[in-house]
Amino acid sequence: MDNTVSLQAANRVLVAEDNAVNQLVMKGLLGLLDLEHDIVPDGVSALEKFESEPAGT
Amino acid sequence: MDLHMPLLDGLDTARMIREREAAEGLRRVPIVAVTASEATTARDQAQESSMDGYLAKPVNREFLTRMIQSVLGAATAVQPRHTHSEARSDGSSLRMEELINIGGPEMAREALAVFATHSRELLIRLEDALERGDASAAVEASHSLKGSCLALGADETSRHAAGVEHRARKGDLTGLREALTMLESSLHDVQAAIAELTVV
Repeated sequence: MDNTVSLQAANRVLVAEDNAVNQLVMKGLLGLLDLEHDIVPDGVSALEKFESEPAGT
Repeated sequence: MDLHMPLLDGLDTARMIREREAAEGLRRVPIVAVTASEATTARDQAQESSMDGYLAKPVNREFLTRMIQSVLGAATAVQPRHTHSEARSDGSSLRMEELINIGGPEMAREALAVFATHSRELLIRLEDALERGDASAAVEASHSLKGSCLALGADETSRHAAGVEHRARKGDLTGLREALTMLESSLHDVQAAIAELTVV
């Protein structure tokens, strides 16, 4: 495992999670790691997000 | 990517993202499954749908950091990488300190409030599913409850939820009634503990 990879190389994280408690935890964790993120509640919204903003944009 | 979601589950979503990437020549985005399912099932499913790894719930800072570093360091990973939380030995205490560290007292309070409402709703759905003999609705509700319990560190209750889920998957409605009674009692204890809790 390469621990030298900077977390910031992940310029954006998309979280697909329907459980409200887990959404709060993920939001907190990604905030703690200073990672920009979006949280969507289902696969359809995740696909829409992926299509509107593909990786690298 | 949570694996159990309404409308379109995590496995199908991941497959569709991979198809889209291939069709349009897009860069392969790392996808990590986050699941309350058993490790072996999760690993197989993640691999099957071309995800890059999986994280077991509850997700913590250390495992999330390692997983993100891992998938970024291997954009063309073939084998899913696994990161698994250690089982907690103390099943009775909620992981309040950890939640406060993650998102501050406000988030911890909100998580407790959301859990209290959510768990009550899910119990009602479970009772209803049992009454109607709807095993798949019982699987959904118990799996969701298991995930919420894991997030708060209500490990004993999450094991009871897993017991209900297991029987619902087998279509064992008699066993389900028994398991649900134990789940209710365990959840009642957690809800009482939450009501007593002051997060500062």
